[in-house]
Amino acid sequence: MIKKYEVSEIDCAVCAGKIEDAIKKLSGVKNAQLNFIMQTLTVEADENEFSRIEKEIVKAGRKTERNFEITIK
Amino acid sequence: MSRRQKKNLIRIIIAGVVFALSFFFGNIEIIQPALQLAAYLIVGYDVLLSAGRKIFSGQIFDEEFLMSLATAGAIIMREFPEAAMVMLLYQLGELFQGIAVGKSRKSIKELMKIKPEYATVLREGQEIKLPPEKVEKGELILVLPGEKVALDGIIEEGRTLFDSSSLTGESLPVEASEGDRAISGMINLHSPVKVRVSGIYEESTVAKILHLVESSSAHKSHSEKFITKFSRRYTPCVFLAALMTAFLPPLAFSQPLAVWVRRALVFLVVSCPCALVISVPLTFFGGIGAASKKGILIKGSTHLETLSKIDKIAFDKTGTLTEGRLSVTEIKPCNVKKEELLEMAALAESFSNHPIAVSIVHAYGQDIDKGRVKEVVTLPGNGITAQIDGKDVLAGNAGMIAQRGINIPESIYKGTVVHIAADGVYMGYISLSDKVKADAKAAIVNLRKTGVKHSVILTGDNKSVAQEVAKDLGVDKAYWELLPQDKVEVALSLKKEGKGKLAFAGDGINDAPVLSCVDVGIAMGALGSDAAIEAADVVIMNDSLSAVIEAVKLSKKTMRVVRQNIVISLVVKFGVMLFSAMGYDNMYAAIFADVGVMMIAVLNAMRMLKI
Repeated sequence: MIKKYEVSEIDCAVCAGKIEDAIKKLSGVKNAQLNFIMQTLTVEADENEFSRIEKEIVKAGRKTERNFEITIK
Repeated sequence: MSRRQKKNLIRIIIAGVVFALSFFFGNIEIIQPALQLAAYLIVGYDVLLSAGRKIFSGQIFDEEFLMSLATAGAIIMREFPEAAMVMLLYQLGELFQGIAVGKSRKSIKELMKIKPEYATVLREGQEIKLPPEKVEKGELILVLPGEKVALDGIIEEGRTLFDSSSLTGESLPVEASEGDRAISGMINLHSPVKVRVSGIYEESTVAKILHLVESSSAHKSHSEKFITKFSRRYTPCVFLAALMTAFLPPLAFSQPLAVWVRRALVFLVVSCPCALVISVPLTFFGGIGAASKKGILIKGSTHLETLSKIDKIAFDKTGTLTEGRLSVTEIKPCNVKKEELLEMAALAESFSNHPIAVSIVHAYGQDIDKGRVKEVVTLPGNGITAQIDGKDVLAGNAGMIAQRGINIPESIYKGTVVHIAADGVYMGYISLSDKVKADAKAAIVNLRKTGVKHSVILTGDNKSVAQEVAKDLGVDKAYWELLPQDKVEVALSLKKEGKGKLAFAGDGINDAPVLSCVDVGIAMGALGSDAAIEAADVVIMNDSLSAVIEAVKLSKKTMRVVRQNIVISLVVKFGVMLFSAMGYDNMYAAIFADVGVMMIAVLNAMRMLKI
């Protein structure tokens, strides 16, 4: 299953790349893509894992960008 | 500007004022450095805090951390003005970057405002406004003047003018009335119409276009991949170089430590590859956005990049170089009446939507009793066999007729010809011709000017038609009587010729295999054709050939901007590092190489959005 999120302001493209890498490494995530320009995040994972993964995504994101936030699109 | 950005701007101004004030106290020993330190802290405290946190999570190759390290180093060496200035400009650069990116995002979203906000559904006699996603197939929607068509469908009531410019780039309104297609994203200009929805929103043209543009960044170009790889290595390498510059000469050659640490600090300031990482994808996205404004959809930056490298192009003939509307020019019966021949042909072709079939049926002009036609078999590229009134009828090209042992009395070398035979007896032929598009000749000339030197025609049509069109338009070569699989073969052999890439432009309906086997497949006149949108790399919504040139030009411009940004960034950064290692170290030059270059690169990238 693929889910799409809107991501809060990320101004730095390097950070976007780092966050994307971090999300890809989370367990259960099959694929992830963070589009810096459109500010969207697409994550592919098993349906029942999403609630856990979403929490971990935010945690991973905040390591690099303090104000990192995702909202379901 | 967002609230955060406004707050930061105020902070930068305050810090700037404090910094400027410090120079009025040039002769007082303590106050000047104190004010400068204050300016530094006011403008940079959040960066310093964040950097502190990042050491604990092990992210030392982070921009904020390296910037903090560089300025802290400067302060330790009692270079307060430099430290304050670097931090000030760094923050100013960040602010600028945020604003610029925000602005670009806005104009890209602007390009995508074709998304309809709502649909007015007629349910049980009531008008209900719903998000387009909630409308079901088969429902009736009302589109008022000034509104966007929310979903694809067929007009059931009303007559109006549609503006399809946001889809096709074509500014001329199109007339539509009952029975015509209404395509989502078109704007109703004239009077209310009721539209029977032919599919849910996800299947609509608008949704497909938006999906295509949004996901275009998934197909990354070589340049972008290079930048990603480069930026991963760049920061650690520069950091290492800084360490070596700072400590190697003092340890190995007992040089003064302070001098070399100073030089090393410059390295840290230029250690962020931001200029590249931001500007390159931004340029590609701008290019793709600008193209979509003109009705040219590019499925990913990799295709934009390849498009800039094409030096040869193959065209499908019918519908691409020509109008695609054949008309019957001659009916030549053989031992039968003219009407009889035409009727037989029209019956045989009545089940096909091939342009030839449509024109023959059109020329016949009378109602067709399809009940008389049985067992229709289409042989792609050759013709049709059918049983009509119990007779085995063949309608197709000379090859197909000859293959079945039927003798064609005279050889014909003109136009598109359909031969007809019934029960093994030759009945005669119908010839058709197709007008060349008005802009075709200019398009070939202009393509040559943009560097696409070699052009060919691939067609299923016969030799005489192919050669005539090729000569007329100044195309280098024509390949004729090609079946779809032959076109693939020819395309594959063309692909191997020369250094440049090969593009193919076709209508995308019969050409899907060719579209997907060339370097860049361009589908023309694709509005509403799913097969074409699927198979092609570049989709041209209207059917104008000048859009192909436009696409090539845009791709070249995009690549030019990308190259400029890569060269400027790298030359300035490496230049500053080199000079600094040689002893011409200057913090102000370093901050220019970081923030200044980033600003230049972003502004350069933003040019793409202004098309």
